[in-house]
Amino acid sequence: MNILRSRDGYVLLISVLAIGLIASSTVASLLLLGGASEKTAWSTSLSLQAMENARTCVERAFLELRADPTYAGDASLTLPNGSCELRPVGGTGNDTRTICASGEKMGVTRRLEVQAATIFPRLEIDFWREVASFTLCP
Amino acid sequence: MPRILLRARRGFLILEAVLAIGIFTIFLAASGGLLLQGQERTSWAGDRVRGAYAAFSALEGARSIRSGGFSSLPAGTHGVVLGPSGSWILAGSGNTANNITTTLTIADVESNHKTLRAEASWPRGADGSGSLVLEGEVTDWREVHGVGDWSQPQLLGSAELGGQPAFTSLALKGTIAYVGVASDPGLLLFDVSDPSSPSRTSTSFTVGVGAHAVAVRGDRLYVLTDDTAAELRMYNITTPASPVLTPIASYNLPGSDRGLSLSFGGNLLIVGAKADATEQQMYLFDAFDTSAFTLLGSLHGSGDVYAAGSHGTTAYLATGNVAAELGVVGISSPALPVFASGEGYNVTGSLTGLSIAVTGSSAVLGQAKGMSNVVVFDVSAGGMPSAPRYHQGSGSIVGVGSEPSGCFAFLAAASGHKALQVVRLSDPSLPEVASYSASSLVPATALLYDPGEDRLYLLTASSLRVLRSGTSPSPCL
Repeated sequence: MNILRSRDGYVLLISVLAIGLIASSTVASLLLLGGASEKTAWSTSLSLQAMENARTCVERAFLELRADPTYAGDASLTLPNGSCELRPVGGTGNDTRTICASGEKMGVTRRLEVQAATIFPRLEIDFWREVASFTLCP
Repeated sequence: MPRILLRARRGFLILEAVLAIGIFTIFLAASGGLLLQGQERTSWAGDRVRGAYAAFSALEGARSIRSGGFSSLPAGTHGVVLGPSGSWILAGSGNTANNITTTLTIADVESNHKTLRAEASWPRGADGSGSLVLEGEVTDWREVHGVGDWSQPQLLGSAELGGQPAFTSLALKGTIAYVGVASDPGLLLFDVSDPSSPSRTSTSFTVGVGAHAVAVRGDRLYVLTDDTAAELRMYNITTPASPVLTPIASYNLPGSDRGLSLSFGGNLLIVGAKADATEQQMYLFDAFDTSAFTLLGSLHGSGDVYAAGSHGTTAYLATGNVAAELGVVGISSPALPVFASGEGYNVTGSLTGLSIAVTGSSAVLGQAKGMSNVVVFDVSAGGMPSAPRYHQGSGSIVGVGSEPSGCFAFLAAASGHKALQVVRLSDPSLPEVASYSASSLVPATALLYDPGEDRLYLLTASSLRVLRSGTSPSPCL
C-alpha cells in the first residue's frame, strides 16, 4: 500500500515531462518559424534589389539605343547594390528591338525581357515581362 | 520497515522539489526567452518585408513620376506619396506609413540619367531601429526625339576630298562615319562630332582593298570588299575612332568578288551578291556572333541583290530581276530562307532595283533611272505586299532612307541636279517636297539617316555632306 502511494509522483512527473516536451516543441517551432521568416524577408529584399538591377540594365540599354541605334548590348554592369547583365540586343534599326536583362544581388537573380516596337521618335514598348529564362535572346 | 525508509527520505523530497522547481523555472525562463526571440525574429522579418516593399514602392513611384517628365525628378531627398488624383508625387523629405519611414534620394548622373536610392527605416524595440536600402536608375528614354521639317533641308557641313576616291557606302557609330571607298584604302573615317566641319580621322587605317559596302552593329564594323579571297571582313571598333587594323574574322563568298550589299535584318547579317548560275545571291549570317562569320543559310535567285532590308520575318531585296524587282524572302527559318511566289513583287516597268529602306510599315524601293522608279510598299503585314505607290525620281536611285515618323523618304540619286530628293511619304501621291544638289552638281552614291540627331549624311564620289531638317517641326508629328 505504501509502495503504491510512493508511485503517485510519477503521474506528476510524466505530466511535467509531457508539458515540457510540448513547450519545447512549441518553442522550437517558433524559433524555426522565426528563422524561416527572417530568410524569407532577406530573400524578399534581395529579390526586389535584383529586380531593380535588371530594370537598371533595361533603362541603360534604352539610353544606349537612343544614342546609338547600332548598340548591340552584351554587357555586364557592376552596380552599387549588385550587378546586371545585358544579353545581345535583338533586332536592327528602329523597329522591334528586344532587350534581355538579368539583375543579380547576392545569388538572387531576376530576369526581364522587353520588346520595343520603335526606338524613334518615341520609344514604344510592345511588352515588358519577367521571365524564368530568356527565350528572345541568345 | 517501509515506514522507516519513507521517513529517512523526507528531506530528500524537499530537496528534490526545490531542485525540480528550480530546473522548471530555468526551463520556463529559457522557453520564455526563446519564445520572445522567435517572436522578435518573426517581427523583424515582417518589418523588413514591409520596409522592402515600401522602398520598392518609392522606386516605382519615381518611375511613374518620370513618365510625366524627366524634370519632375529633381535631385534631392524626397518623400513619395499618392497625390489627390491617385498618381505618385514627391512630397516633403520623407513619408511615414505603418510605422515605416521612406525617403527617396535622387542624384543626377547626366541630364538624361539619374540614380535612385530608396531607404526605409522603422523603430525596433525600445531604442533600436531597422533600415533597408534599394537602389536603381532611371533614364529619359521616354523623351520624344523631334523630327524636323525635311521639306527644308539645310547643309550643315561637308568634307571634300581631292581626286576621285569613289565613295561607295556609309555607316555611322557615334560621332564616327565610316565611308567605304571603291579602291585601296577601302575605308575612310570621318569625325562628325562637329557636323559643320566633318574631318578625316585615323588616316592610317586601311582595309587594303576596295569596299562595296559597310555596316555597323555594336562594336563591330563589317566591310564587304572586292578581295576575291575574303570579301567579308569584321573589324573591332570598340574605340570607334581607332578600328583595330587586323580583322577579327573574314569570309570568302563563293565565286570571285560577287559581294554587292551588306545590311542587318532582325538578328541577321544579310549579304547580297551578284547573280550566278550556280552560286547563291543572298547569304544570311548570325548577327549575334561577334567573333566569326557563322553562315546560317543562303538562297539562289534570278538577279543581283543590290540592297536588303527586313520587316519581321520577311526580307525585302532590291534586285536586278526585272520580273521581281522587290525580292520577297521568308526568313523565319534562317537556315531555310524561301522566296515568295515568283521571287517577289514585279513592279511596273523593267527597271533594276538598286536600293531599299524598310522603316516601320513602309518599304521604299529605289530603281535605276526610268519611269516610276521609286516604289513604296506597305509591308506592315509582312510577306508579299500589294498595291504599291509610285513616284518619279530623278536619275537612278542609289540610296534610300526614311525618318522614323514615316513622314519623309530620302532618295540619293545619281543625278547632279538632284543628288538628294525628299519625298512626302505620308502623302498618298508621294510628292517631291525638296531636293538638294551640291554646287559642283555631283551625283550621290549613298545616304544615311541618323534618327538620334535627325541628320542626313549624303555621300558623293568624293565628299561627305551633312544635312539637317528645317527648324520647324515635322508636319507629321
